[in-house]
Amino acid sequence: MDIFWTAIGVAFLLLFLLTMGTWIFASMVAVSIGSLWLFGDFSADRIGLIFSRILYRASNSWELSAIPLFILMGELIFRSNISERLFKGLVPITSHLPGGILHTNVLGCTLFAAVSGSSAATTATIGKITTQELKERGYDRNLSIGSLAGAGSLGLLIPPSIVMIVYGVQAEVSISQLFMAGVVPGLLIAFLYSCYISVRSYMKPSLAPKSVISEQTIWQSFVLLLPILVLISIVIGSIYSGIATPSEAAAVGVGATLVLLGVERQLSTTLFVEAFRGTLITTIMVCSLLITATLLSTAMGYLHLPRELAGWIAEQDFSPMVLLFALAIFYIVLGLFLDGISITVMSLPITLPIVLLAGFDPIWFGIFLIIMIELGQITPPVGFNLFVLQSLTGESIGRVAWASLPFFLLMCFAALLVSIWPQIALWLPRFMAG
Amino acid sequence: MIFLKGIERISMFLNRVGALIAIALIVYMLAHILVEISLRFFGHSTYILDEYIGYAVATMSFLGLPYVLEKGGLIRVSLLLERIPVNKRWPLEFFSSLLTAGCFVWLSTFWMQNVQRSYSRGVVSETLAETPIWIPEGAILIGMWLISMTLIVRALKILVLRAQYLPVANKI
Repeated sequence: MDIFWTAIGVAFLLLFLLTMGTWIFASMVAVSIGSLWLFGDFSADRIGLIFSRILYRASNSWELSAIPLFILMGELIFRSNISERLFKGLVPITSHLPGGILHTNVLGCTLFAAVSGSSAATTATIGKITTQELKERGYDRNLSIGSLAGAGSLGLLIPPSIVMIVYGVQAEVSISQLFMAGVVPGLLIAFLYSCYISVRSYMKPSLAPKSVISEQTIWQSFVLLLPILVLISIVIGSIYSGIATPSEAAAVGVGATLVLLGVERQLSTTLFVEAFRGTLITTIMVCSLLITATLLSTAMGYLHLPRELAGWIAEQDFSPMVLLFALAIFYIVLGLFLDGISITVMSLPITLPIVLLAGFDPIWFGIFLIIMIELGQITPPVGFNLFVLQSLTGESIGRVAWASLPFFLLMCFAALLVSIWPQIALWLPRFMAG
Repeated sequence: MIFLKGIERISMFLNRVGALIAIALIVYMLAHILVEISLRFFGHSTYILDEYIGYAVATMSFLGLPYVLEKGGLIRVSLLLERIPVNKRWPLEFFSSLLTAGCFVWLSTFWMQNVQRSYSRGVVSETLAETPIWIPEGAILIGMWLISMTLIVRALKILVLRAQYLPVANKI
């Protein structure tokens, strides 16, 4: 069968099942089986033999242990009072800036992102404190919700990051290099957000009333921020000192969090039960997608779709920037309907060979992809950060999405900068590698 | 209906057991990795980290899946579902359950052949531990059966209740 019709057929099958409300992991299994049978003329026995082995190989991967452990770390912190102290510690630092404590959203998310691998966890942890505090102090609701939605998505870009682990495993690139590559773009986006808040508040002071008078000294702030700073140092330090691999660093992080919460007498049976339950649900959701995506990737490989599509695109002689623009639109559209991990696992079997053939660095593309996914987190109708904020604030999804729009545009601008100057992402991993 | 309720109760109980084992495996992974890192400081190793953590991840994923599925923790695109009145969603829910159950029942038959082969031939891992491979493979098979059972029970329940069926809220 002509490769074009095969591609259309596979895409139609997938879209049909997704629209019918079939679970994403199940849609990928069914499409993988169906496409080899329908378009590849494979016998049922052959498909069964191939897929049962692939399923085992994909799940029997020790690198994936980082996923439950980083999620567990985030769950433990989320259920402790660390986020509350993070806010109190940031207030004296931010209250003198134009925009005042609105910056706690950006700084808080940036710091929390360095111990959490998920944007929903980052948004929820920081948001559960800041949304109420900012509302009570009369800060502009849109700016407060929008900055949190935008900055919360930094959980994906600033290491450690679950999506980076998923990308690293799928694209077979170094996870520690990916972690490093996310740092500068993450800080760049945080800087853009802070600048926007400052400029808006400077132009219209009523957006951020100067009502906060903090009695804390910088030293007291530092003490309050100490737990999170210690955790960041331990997680990142263990990777780059060579003590632990990125997967092992997750265990080090959980160990350090348990010691910290134990010293502060915050550990309880309820905390453990809730944290483990939350961890199991999120972990299985991520792992089921990752494992079944390997089936999809294998099926696409047998149908020669990625190679043929990459070849066709190479024949068209698109410039790299045109290709990148097309990919950006493709990912933003996907982000309207799917979550980040589903997008990554479903699209990579097709897009990665194309991108590599066009000469893009796989580490750089990982960062570009994650920024695209972050954009998807704050676009309706399906945007995890919007859902988290909707439940935190009680506002409609439309209002939350509208408030997030300026931050969506700023992230698009950051994606443009990273595309024009790939060194923004690649400088740090290359520097660290010597 | 009484028969279906009985089967559902058994399925839910088994799913809870699967979830508890999956959580225990997360604790095991944490402990093993921390022990391995500690041993490294003294120039030692357990030598089985990659192998056993790999088994643990695979077993956790398959044994935990039925519980998370039952609790509505798996992602689906519900843009169409949400636009259909709750009492008219059952054909779509039935279709999803039956299709997924079909895939897993079918895959598990092939996987069972693998487990049987590993067991009868006494296949062991090519590592120092020489682990009999049928053990981790068998754990995955049990997970596949639990997933299939959960989905079949779900499909039967939908078929019996039809418009009265109330699905657990999903994440998207």
